[in-house]
Amino acid sequence: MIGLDANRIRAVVRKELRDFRRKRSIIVTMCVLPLLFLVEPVITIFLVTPSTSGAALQKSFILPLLYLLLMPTIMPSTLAAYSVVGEREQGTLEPLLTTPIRQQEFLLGKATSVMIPTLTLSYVAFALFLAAVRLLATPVVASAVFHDSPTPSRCSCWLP
Amino acid sequence: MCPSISVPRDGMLPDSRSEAYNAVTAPSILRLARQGGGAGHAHNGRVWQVVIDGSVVGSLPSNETVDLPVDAGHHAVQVTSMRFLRSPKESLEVKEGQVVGLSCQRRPRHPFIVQRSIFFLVASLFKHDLWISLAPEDTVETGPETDGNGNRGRTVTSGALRSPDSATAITRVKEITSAPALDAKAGPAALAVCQLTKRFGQRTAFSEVSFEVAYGEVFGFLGPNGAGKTTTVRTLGSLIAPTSGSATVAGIPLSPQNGVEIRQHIAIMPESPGLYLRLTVTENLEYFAGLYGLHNPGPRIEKALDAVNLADRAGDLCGGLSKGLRQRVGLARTLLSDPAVMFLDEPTSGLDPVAAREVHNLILELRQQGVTIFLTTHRLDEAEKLCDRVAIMNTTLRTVGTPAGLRDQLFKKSLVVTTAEPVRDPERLFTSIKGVDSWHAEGPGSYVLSVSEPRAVAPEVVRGLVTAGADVLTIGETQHSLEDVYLELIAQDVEAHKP
Repeated sequence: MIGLDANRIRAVVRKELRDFRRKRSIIVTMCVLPLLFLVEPVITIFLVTPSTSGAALQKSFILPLLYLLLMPTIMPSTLAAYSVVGEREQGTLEPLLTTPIRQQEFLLGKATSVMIPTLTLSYVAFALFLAAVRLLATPVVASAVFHDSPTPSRCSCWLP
Repeated sequence: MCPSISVPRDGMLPDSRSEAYNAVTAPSILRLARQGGGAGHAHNGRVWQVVIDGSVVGSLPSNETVDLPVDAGHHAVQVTSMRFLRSPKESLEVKEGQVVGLSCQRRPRHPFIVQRSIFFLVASLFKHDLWISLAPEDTVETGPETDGNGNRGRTVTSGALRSPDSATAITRVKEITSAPALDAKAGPAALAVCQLTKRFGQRTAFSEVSFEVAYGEVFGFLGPNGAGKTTTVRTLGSLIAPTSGSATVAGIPLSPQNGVEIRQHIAIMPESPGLYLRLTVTENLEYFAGLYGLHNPGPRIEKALDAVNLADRAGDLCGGLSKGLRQRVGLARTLLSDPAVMFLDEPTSGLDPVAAREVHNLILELRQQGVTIFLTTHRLDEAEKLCDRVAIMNTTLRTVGTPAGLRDQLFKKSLVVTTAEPVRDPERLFTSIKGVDSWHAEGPGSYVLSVSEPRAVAPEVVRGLVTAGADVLTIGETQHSLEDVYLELIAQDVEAHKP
């Protein structure tokens, strides 16, 4: 952070988040993508029968759980693409560059504004998944998801 | 200093400008001394910013003393290097005629890197105003004085914070504040451009451009499409680097290292306002206020919107505004940071006459307040109305001067005479009148006389015509507009480039 002005970074983040909120296609994408990535793991977990053995049980839900990890990789690229294209489309880059903002501050602000909604949505999706498992899956499967191998909660620790 | 090719400015600015200058000259001075610096600390080479009442008003290099004019009253002063490295706010009561001293320095760093890092993190999160100490020093009572040139100044009589070089400090004040200089000779130029050239590969955008703009001047920059006007503005705004040459913008040498500092002291309004269409007018201005580091932008935004008559549209989305209103929002944006130099790139482009007149009035108001304006325009009437001096450019600088001066340079003065009937022997009549250099007929009963002193010669011409039995209908001096000057110069260029 040496030499960077947090005030300017905050200004960029606040503006970007406001802009995202007002863009309908961004809102729709941010709602639909997590739901899509959530459906497959949830269905898979429900399809696993309680009689499945330990190793088979793990194998059956490791792959679908990877869908959840796609969320924090795909959603930021969508937002980042809009963030850059939007500046160019509206011709706002030139006035922006006439201000004292440094390139690093600008990029850091953009990156932070992309990270905040995608991380939040990813954690919300994980939380929904875990809630669904806890409330609706059979106790054996729920126990396997929570206590064995790479559960979403463990995966989520590595997200940032 | 680069030899200037400009026509000298014709003396002092109008009286109204002098009054404006006196009005904005602050009665008291805040003197900040930055101690320590040089080798050893990574941040010592960085220029610190001085924040008074939430607004960045100047910069403070290592081991320098800076004088900042302030109004009498209560002020909150803070020095910041960056967001995580700043001093506590110091509250000061400044009386009229006082020079109030503050000394600031970076606190010594902890010798162990781990402790230093932990302290940095904790300070960043909770107490990040611990890193620069700011201590009040002796207050010096002084009275207003006037130097030989009529400029107001002060003499420091005592105090620990006496500037090591008072002249340097005062010069620095002129560099960092938007107070206008009354004459180019009275202080450093707001813009000093010397042999500046920009090439894109084989194509030359502009070549060997040299001129100076004084503080408080409205400087018009004219030229045909592709003449390099916008590229010049972008170069002076440190958006693109020049190929060769040098320039000083708001007292700061133009270089990639000084880009941020230069942009802190100027404002550029591009031809296209470039607003975020899904944000409201206020949100757009808040964003740019944040980028300029303004801490409490609300009052500034209101003031800027009032200035462009947009206060009632503050909550509207920019996407719903007309082109003229967007242009006005763009102008309000340039007003936010109280820039020392304002670059306006065709501010009335695409505006209807009423909106254009409002923009003109705003520029005239800014001129009254002493803001230096660099106006790029195609509209010659606009330049003639608003600008103290104009430069005409066509890749190279063709001429610089006052509109009246350029007219006198390019065109001979002449009288146009019309009579009821054609004069019988005009050759004998006009050559016999003293002061008439040459003449030609423009039609039956219409004559154009080249003269050096129209006011002195006109009565002689009338007397001569009456004596010759002619009935004089009209006599008047030919008025050349800036447009004539422009067309003449550009026509010369076209002629010169013909194969």
